[in-house]
Order: sequence, then C-alpha cells, then structure tokens
Amino acid sequence: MPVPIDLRFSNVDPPLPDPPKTIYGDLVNLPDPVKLSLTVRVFNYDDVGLYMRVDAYKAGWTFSSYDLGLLGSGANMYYSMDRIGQRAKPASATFETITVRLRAYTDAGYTTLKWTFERVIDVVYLNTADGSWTQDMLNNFDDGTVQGWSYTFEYGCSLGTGWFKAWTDYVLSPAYSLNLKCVPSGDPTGYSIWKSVTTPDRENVFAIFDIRLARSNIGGGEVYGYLKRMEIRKDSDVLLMVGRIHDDLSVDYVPNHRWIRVIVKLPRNTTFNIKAFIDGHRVTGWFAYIWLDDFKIISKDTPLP
Amino acid sequence: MALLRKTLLMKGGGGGVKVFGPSAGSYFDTIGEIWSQEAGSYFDYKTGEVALFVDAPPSQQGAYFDRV
Repeated sequence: MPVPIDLRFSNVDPPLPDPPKTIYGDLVNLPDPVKLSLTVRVFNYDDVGLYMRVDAYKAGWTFSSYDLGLLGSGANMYYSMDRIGQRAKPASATFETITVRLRAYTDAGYTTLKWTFERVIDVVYLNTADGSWTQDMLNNFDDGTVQGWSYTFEYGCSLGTGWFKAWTDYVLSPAYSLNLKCVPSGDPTGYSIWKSVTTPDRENVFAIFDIRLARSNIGGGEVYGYLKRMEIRKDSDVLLMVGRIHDDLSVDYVPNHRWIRVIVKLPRNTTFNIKAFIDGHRVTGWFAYIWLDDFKIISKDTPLP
Repeated sequence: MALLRKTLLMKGGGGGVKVFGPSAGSYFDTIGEIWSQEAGSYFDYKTGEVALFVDAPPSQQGAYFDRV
C-alpha cells in the first residue's frame, strides 16, 4: 500500500507519474563547495493534517533538514529549500543521483513519525569549458547594450522611475550586466525579461542563466514588497520554477541580493522566446530588480555524463 | 497548473517516428513538439504499445546553484 504522502519535482499532479527530472549545473565559475537549492511540491493524502519535514542524502554531500510546518489533509504546497545541500566542487563533468526524503509527523514537535516517502533526482554537472561544447550565444552586455533582450510587465508593474539597460552596479563579468528596475503598482506584481532565440540543431541544448534578484523600499528603510517565485519559460511553458505560489505574507520565497545560476534544457532547432519571469507581492511602494549576466546557450551532440 | 495532455499511440519507424491519433486518425511524420524525456515529455509503456504524451507543456523543475 503506498504511503499517503508524496513529494514531486514537477507540476504534474498525482496519480500521473512524476516525470523523471534532472538538475543541470555548469562547473564553469561555480564556487567551491557547490551549493544546491531545490523547490519541491509536497502532498498530504492522509485523513489528518501532518507536519512535513524534508531532507536528502547522498554520499559526499551535506544536506540540511527543512520543517515545512502543518499541511492539511488533502492539501499540497510548494516549498523552496534554499541551500539544502552542498558538496565539494567536482573536478569534471559528473552525473549523480540524490535521494530527497519527505517525512510526515503527527505533532508540531516532529517527534512522532507517521510516514516516510523518498524520491530520487539526477544531478548532472556540465563542464562547458571542456572543449566538447559549442557556445551558440553569449550575452555579457559588456558592449553597454541590452543585446536583444526586452522586458514585459506581466501584471501590476510599471517602469516608473526605473530603467531597463546595461548597467554597472552588479556584474559578474565587468563592465556591464543587464538590469531591469521597475515599480510594482499593484498586487500581485509580475515582470519579466526575455529574448527571442533559435536553438541549434544538436542533441543537447541548454540555456544558462546567471541571475540576481533584489527589492528595496522607495525612499529606503522598511521593505514593502516581496519576491514569491521565479520561472524560466519557453514562450508560455514553464521549464523551471523556484519559490512558491503567490501569497500575501511578508516573506520572500526566492533568493535575493545574491547571484544564482539556473540551467534549463531546450528543444533543438526551434525558435521561441526564452524568459525569466518574477512574481512578487506588493504591500506599498517598492522597487523590484533583476540582473542578468553571462547568459549562454550551449550545445553538443555527444552524450552527457 | 493543469498539464495539458493528449494520449496518442506511437509506433517506431525507421528514420523517424509516426504518431497516430487513435480517435482522430491523423498522424505526423515529424514531431517538432516532442522533447526528450528530460525536458518534460514522458512515456507510459503499455502492452505492445507506447502511450506518448505530446503537446504538453514541459513539467517544471525547480533548482538553482549559488553562483558566487
């Protein structure tokens, strides 16, 4: 008899099988140790509410445990576990599988364990500097232009006194990164940066995003806006989502004020808009920001590790 | 978020794949919207046949690494 809890890496609802998922990383310019963050979706099909705890295990890794709190009977939730795990940076392209564990307790003190559920996810570290890859696109904005990128205010947002330009305040490769600074004017707030791309006709095609998000109060001081989720989209398809579904709590669910890297696999020989989308919660006046630097599309026909 | 799904029957063929819609009777010689398994499409093996989920948005994954 299956246990009445579930943990998934996708937006596919039970009883459909959770599609196999792979996390991709690129060793180039990653710090040592490598720090991984993970968004999961947790389900409770038990007749009672349960307190959910998530951790993971794999030899060579160090993982943290996250207490997700009470999840009601029949409910599900997204949860983003910032820096859930870390390991020494691999010396070369590597494939490994980690096991993520969901445990359900009947008490808020997490002492009475009722159910345990495990799911594996593959992690593939690419090494895009090993000579096997073709770099089909590099946008480092170091010529001072936006290099074909555009922005869209999806809902509740305006440019106001902000800007969209190559800018110098936060960069990974000097002298410029791409920066959108906008003014959320409603709640929820949604904004994005995007570019039309045509992928090469090769077996393995990836987009590498180095992204920095931030928010600040207009006039300084207390923050009146929060970042709820980030999606990487191919046209309207969501390839990757970190964070949680929008709520009105004064809490961030995506990392901000630091650079992160996300990688998505792309279809070959296809033209579409690749987009980084942000959803936020506006309390009152605030600025929302996104920076992008060293965006790449890479490809090769030879197998992955 | 709902997963749009169509279940079609797939038969392998040399040099490509043909997908037959069991009710519509249509087929496609090439399938531009079928991605690799890792990208979000997946296969459900049945007796003697393969059910193939196509035209479905890739199911999302959520992970990131510290960049600095």
